[in-house]
Amino acid sequence: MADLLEQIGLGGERIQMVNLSSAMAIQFAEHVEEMTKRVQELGPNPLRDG
Amino acid sequence: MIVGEQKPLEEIMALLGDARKVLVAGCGTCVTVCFAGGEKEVGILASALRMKSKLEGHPMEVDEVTVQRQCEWEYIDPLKPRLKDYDAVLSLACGIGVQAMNERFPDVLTLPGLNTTFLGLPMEQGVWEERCQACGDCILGLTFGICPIARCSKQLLNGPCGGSQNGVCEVDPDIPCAWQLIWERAIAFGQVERLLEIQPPKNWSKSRDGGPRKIVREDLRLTHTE
Amino acid sequence: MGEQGPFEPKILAFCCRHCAYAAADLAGAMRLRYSPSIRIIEVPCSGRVEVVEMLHAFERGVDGLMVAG
Repeated sequence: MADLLEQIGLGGERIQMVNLSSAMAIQFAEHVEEMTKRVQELGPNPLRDG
Repeated sequence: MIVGEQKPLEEIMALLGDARKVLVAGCGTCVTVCFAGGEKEVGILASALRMKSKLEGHPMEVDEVTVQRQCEWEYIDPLKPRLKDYDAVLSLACGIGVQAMNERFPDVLTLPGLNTTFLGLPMEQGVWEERCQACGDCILGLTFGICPIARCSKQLLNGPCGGSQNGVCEVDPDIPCAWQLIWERAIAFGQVERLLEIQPPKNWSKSRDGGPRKIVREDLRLTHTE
Repeated sequence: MGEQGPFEPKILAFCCRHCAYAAADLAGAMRLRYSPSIRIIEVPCSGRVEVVEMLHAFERGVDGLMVAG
């Protein structure tokens, strides 16, 4: 899937698979923070033009 | 079944060239089963093409359709009224489907989105192996059900050759020696003497060497020419 | 959009009902702070998520995507 996004030209880093148990609330919040930071660095999806 | 593999996205984009309106046409038979050109793959490729073409600054309009079998007239005929709307059709069927589309609908160019690879067998999820070359003169009855035409790198009729070592082929250690397998089967059935008989050269005129092949079954035809 | 500084991304998260969605629920109950950029879709199992659904999300403009199970 990441490879396909790369081929399309969107960048494979825009997708992330994570494994969590139902007790891992802190890790969930951390993953969200990390993903937000990563996507902020990548910039907006170029297909998002309104 | 027929096994195929999708072409790289770059190559498909190049094939489509300036086409602005494209129909991606899948096939519900062999290429669906080998995850190369069924409804699912049509959806993924169409979405990928829409995004890639937009990112490259020349957005394509891409529609999707999947027919049960692209290699039979009655399944593709219902597409006819839709086709005039498209600059090109990208077929995810095997080479037979692509040609059927071009033959039936000569006004629109149907391009191949797959490489039709071989006649084979799914060994496990995600792994396919070649098993038949459609040589037109089956010798599986002489070789204990293992085809040396499709599975021996040298297509030997009398084997194994000196390149067979520890059961694998000298061409690639990932290829099991077909003749080793044939001999093991002969031993298991207690019939090695059947392999000691030298097989004469094969009649390749029933294969591709006789030009394109055709089967005519008069008992099945609806129109007789007598 | 043309705003300055780090933009507010839209990130879609497909979350398994029994694992990640429950974890997100717990994060809420624990009053944990995390980015509001996330939009959660609950799925019965992360294996339920099809490639084409992820692609459609990108086609419609999401900036990032998480599949959490």
